[in-house]
Amino acid sequence: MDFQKNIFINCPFDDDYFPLLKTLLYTVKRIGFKPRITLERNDSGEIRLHKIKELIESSKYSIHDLSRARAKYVGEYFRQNMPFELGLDLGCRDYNEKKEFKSKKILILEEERYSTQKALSDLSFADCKCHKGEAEELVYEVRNWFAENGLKSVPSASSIWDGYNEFYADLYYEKSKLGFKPKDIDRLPIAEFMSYIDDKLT
Amino acid sequence: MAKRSSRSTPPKRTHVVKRESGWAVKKQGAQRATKVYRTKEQAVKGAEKSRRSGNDVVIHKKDGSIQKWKKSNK
Repeated sequence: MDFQKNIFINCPFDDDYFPLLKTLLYTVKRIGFKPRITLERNDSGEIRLHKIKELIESSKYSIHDLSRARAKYVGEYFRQNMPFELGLDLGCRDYNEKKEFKSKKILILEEERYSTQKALSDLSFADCKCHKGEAEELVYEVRNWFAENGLKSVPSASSIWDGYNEFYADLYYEKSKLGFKPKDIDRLPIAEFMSYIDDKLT
Repeated sequence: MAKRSSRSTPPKRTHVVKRESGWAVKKQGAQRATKVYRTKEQAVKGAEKSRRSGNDVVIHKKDGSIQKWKKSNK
């Protein structure tokens, strides 16, 4: 496991967020990091919390998207997995004596500016980045966060965004030839999608 | 000459891609957009020119996925 290159991804897994998740995974891989996400493997026998702890402990970097701070309709349950996992990650960094954990870098994303501070005032110290629910904006925020953390030679956000669009066209073209319909392509499992990104970027 | 449906090499592509300032028409692999339009409709219309000269036009949604793939007119 390469702690220095791993990045834990903690984000919503709903249908609305799925396109943003795919953009995020491409961006992270294009910059040269390895996203670690619970969807990377699916073993029904595996205890989810153990898996999350393993991903957190194996990643120097992490991205926590708290975009679901506000219910979309009356009666919708507030999903607490994302803030819970952010808490685990902060705990791992702050309560662990291991030097490598102290070096952890954390990015908090939100869809609506200041929504995290309103819903989770304990995080009022945090400099959250806002993507407005836009894939292109997400690329800019994530790319710039890596650069702000001292990473050299990060490709420009424009080139990553254009690369993602071209990558998606390749995926569409090649899968269509194999008989996949657009909805099959758009809903490829994340593990398969990530493997396709690896094929294209190597 | 091989039929178009059996071509093995991917056709050249022109992409219609979301930009912060509008919608760009951009040839595959080019560093810069050919032109950025204020609306998607204008960009799709602008891309038609390259379709007539042999490129497929790939119209993206704002999330980067594919809305429509228009094969070249050649």
